[in-house]
Amino acid sequence: MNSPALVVTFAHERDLLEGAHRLRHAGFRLRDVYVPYPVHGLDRVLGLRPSRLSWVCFVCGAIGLLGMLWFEHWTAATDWPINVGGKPWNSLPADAPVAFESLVLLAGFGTVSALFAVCRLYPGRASRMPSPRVTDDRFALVVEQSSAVVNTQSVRRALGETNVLSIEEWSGRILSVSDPS
Amino acid sequence: MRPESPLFGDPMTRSPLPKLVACLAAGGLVVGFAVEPQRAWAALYCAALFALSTSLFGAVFVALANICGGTWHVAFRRVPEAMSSGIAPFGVVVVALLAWRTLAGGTAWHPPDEPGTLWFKAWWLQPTFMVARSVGYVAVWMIGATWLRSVSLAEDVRESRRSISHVQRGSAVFAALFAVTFSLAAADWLMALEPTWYSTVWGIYWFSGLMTGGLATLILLALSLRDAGPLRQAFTDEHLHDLGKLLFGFCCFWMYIWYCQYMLIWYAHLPEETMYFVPRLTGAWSVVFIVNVGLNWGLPFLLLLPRTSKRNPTLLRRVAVVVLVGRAVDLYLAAYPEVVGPYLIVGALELAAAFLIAFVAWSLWSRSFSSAPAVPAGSPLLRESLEYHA
Repeated sequence: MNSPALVVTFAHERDLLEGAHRLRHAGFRLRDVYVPYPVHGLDRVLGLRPSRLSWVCFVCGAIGLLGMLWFEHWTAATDWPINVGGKPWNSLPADAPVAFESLVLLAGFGTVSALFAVCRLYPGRASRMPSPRVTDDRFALVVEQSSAVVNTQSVRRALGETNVLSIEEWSGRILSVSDPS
Repeated sequence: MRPESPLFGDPMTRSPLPKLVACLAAGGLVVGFAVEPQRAWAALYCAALFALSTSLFGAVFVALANICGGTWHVAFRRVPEAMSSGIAPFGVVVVALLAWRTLAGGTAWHPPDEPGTLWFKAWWLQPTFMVARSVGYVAVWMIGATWLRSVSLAEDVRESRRSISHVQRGSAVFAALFAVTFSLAAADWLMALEPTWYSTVWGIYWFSGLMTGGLATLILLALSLRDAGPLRQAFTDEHLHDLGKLLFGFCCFWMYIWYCQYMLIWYAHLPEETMYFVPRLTGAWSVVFIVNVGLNWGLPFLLLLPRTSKRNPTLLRRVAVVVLVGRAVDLYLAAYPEVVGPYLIVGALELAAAFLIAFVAWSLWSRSFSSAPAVPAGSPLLRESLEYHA
């Protein structure tokens, strides 16, 4: 994560979108984007693949549903059958609410855990961002500096007419929340 | 001179075939009323209720969007508005059929000496009172829909434009009145077919059906209008995506309410409640019972689950057709066992009623749509709707 990179900072959402579009089409590799709020259309401009998180959600939900259906059948019909109002031992209508709740629970926890694991987000982790202002009113684009061809001049050239605030080298510095800079 | 219909501009209005088939269907229904009055009545009643709730959806959709301060729907708002033009005609048909059965048909809705009768039901289901309040429901919906349409048309011209909060307040009043009248209508028009049975979730159940059927129709109409031209620039894939999400959500809502009703009745096992489900779970009806759940929830749920399928016009069209067939099956399952008898029957009469009502709905909506600009070009909210990103 500490490989050299360039940080291009913008003041407006549309400049960011335009800049990302130009850089990507000029062949630069974009590592990440820091924005104060979700920007519509950014995933398309960055060419991100659709998130695989929905598959995690689906699989976890299916495990919750089938696991709980099996468990209810085992407890109510196999291990210790109890006559409830003369209903059959294995009654799907009675099992459905708990199975549904367990589907929702596992799908929810599974998705959030997978997201945190993939992003390596855990309690107490120091935030890593080019400037604290990306949480307020700045939009930063991190360009991978894979070779000497990628430098401030070549990025500025590729950006052309786009309104840019600054282009800086970034060593991937870590900021604590109270960092005044 | 009648304006050209943009919707069915080509085959449906110019070629005489659909009109011919509709006339044949009407003739067939007249014969049906003479030969098998109960079945012909049920066929036409189900079809008219379907069309009425779909028309009513148009007004409800616009009102809900107004209340939420929604702007995304403005580009295709004329479509639900056009749908709401069917409220008055189909309301008249439903109330006329209701009156024919209760007042003139000789079939009492509620024989007073029936065991288990509640005094309130006997009073509430008096034929004259029932028909009178049914007229009231339709009148409320019609006034609401007309008002919603008029403020929408007024938005195009700066001078006549009403403030957003004015429209919001009016829509909220309509939504509140709709909630009460629609619940009562569902109970009067469908639950009272079996007068001694009751279910307190019935109104919400039919509201969820109104939403799925209406959304499916809206998707089909908007896509046809996009292909035909009037909404080519206006109705984007983003709008389609959101309508797909709503259809997906309301299909799940329908299932939820269906299950809430079924599970509680199954669990409590009270004879006065299970009497609705017993005939529907025996014999050939049990197949329809399962198919109903599959069409209204199973298939739409599985097909609309991935993001890409909600942005795919071909797939969404097919799902919409599945949902519409599901709605028809749902109404059929609610009305036929009580009105026609404990046997399954689908034939020429049902198809005739469905085609006739669908043809009338299509012509009414199409005419209403072409009577105003296809896109509310003067609306200050249009730009936001066109640039909307789902």
